[in-house]
Amino acid sequence: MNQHQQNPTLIFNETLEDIAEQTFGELAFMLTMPQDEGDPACQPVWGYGASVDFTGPFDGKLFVSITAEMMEPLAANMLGLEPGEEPPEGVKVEDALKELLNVICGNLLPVIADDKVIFNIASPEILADPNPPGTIPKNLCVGESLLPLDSGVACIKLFVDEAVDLSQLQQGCANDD
Amino acid sequence: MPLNILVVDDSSVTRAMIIKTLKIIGLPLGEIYQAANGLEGIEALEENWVDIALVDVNMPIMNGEEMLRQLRETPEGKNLPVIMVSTEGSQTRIESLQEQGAKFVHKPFAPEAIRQAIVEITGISYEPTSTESDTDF
Repeated sequence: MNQHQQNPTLIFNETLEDIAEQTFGELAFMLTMPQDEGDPACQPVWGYGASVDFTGPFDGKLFVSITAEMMEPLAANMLGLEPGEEPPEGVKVEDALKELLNVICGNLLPVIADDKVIFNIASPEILADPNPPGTIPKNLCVGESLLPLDSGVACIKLFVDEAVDLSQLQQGCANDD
Repeated sequence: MPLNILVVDDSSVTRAMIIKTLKIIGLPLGEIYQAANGLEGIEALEENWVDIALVDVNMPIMNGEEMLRQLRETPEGKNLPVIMVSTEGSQTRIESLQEQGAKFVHKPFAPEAIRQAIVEITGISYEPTSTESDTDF
């Protein structure tokens, strides 16, 4: 039984995974790796978490959690740093995770909604608790993806306002396929 | 002639990526100014001569759309070449930005996309001084 069958609201797992995988690859040169179910990566210990809020035809939040060892290569790859090279002065490495989340969110919304509508994406924030949230009050989780990457593991979760009409969202996504 | 560039983005990593890209594509660079939101961007333009501005859309305090709108109302900013570098996916908003004379580069971007936007919006031609890569940022 897959996650979608377990939870009927998880309608964007595949879309989320595709866009997250593409963004990790293009922005940070991190590629997904096949994993066995017994692999320790299937029970990751999260080191950093970030979230971003968006408002528009519907409101929601996107979360990303990564294992601790991913942060340094994430920033180094995004900045094109040579081994041993320090980030430029004034650059915060945590901004790499925030920017990655921002790009995933920006590329996800036109796919799950419509590329004519306008969303406003807030500034991503680093969270004190790096663990992916289980539930959020007044929100539904409509997509989650666990990505085993060559530099660690990432988890991405999409929540939308519970008042949203999921059938309309599904229709919008189908039209984009 | 070296070009003075203003990079406006609330992410320090993105500003660094854009600046690195400008160096990779071999653009003749003068001063590079940075701002973390549209308001800081306008202040930087009031204080410095800038040839090209690269501006994000979604930013706190003042977003790039509002910055562009205010800029176009000033004599100095009316014709300033502006390239919006953003994850923005709304065609409605992108068309609105383009109607105000801005070029649009979607994130993640390849250095060639930035180079092409600069060449198109400024009309300059230059010989790249370093090797361009196919790297996406």
